[in-house]
Amino acid sequence: MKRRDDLRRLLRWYPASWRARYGDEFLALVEDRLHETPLTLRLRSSIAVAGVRERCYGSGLIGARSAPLTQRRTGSLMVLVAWSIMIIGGASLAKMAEHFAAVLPTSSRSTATLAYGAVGVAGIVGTAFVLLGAIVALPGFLRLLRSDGWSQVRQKFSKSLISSAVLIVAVIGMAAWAHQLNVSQRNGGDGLYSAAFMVFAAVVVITIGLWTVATVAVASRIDFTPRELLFESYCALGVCLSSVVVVAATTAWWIQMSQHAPWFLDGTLTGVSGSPWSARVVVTALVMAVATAVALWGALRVAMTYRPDRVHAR
Amino acid sequence: MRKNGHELRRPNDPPLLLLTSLAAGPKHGYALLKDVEEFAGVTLSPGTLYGAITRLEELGLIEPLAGDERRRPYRITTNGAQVLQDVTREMRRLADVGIARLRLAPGGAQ
Repeated sequence: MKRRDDLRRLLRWYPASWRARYGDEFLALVEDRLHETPLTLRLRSSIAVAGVRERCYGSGLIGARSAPLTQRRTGSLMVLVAWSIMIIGGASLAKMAEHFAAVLPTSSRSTATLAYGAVGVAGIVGTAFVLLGAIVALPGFLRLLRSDGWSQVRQKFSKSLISSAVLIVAVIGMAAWAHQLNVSQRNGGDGLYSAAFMVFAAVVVITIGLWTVATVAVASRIDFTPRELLFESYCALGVCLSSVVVVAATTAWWIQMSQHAPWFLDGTLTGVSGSPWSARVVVTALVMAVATAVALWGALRVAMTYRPDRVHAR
Repeated sequence: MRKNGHELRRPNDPPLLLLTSLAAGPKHGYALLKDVEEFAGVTLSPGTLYGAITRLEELGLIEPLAGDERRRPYRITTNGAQVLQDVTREMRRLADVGIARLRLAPGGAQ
């Protein structure tokens, strides 16, 4: 009995619809199998991995046979999640790049400024695509509310709102505190402020994460029309392109900075030799790389639905 | 080779092994597992087996038969038999080419 409960718990890795269709016979098979082999960690993990893979198939994340509309929705949502990650990377870059132009020689300032400007423009364009996607989703969102869908996502929105309220208070508090400190104290000179800033950064990340989860929960439940989904997918491709531009421009900016002021990237004093591969550069680059990889994967899933043999989905 | 959108390329692809097993008659999950072990020497994990069953059923290459809910048997469909025939024919053609070339190659098997 205990073993069956154990196995039933393992089935939670699978989507509910799959459990309803195959759950009983799958359990019977595993039980038959267990007469020969024990329930090892390897068997447990293989069931868990297969369950996650089934979820990915079901949501259109992988597999060539997903329904085009499901795949289009999932691909677009992946790009949205990627953009949330990119915002975190972008915020990290913005903090790192504060006053960079002042430390560069005049001759090399224009290229770095241009590259950094391109990051900003791509950020604005990407965000505009996200907002456009939200506007396109509005009629579907209203349909969801009318069909009592709010009760399914209310909890997620409540968490996001609470986190946002905490963030607003934190922004006001940090701004007031920073106003009383000099540049050196604001940039690592004051240990207490630095620790508070890390907590503040964590609140920012959590808030962005919660809003992303809430948005994905809503978008997964909206009954989009094929036309709405097509527009959403175009927005997703625009966001993905913006992500690529952000990464390319950030790389160009970093090259300029590493050539002319590597100590700036390292956070050390002017003129002191420093590595262009400081921890904050590596973390920012990793976050942006993950965001771009997720965005490209999502965009690829979306683009696959435009294939001529699947064009009926338009 | 892509058949009905499903990749059946390698001889040890779980879906291909299942189609081959079901070509001999309907079987439930555990019987499939044992049969594949016997004729191919491949031990499929329960997750892999049911992943393949799910995909094949979605593609209409196999179908469940009425029976015990916990020991539900599956059988190959006409479409599934056709796919298996096409794939194995292609594999045999490639194998024949390989064997012929090995015989022709200097120092190759005679």
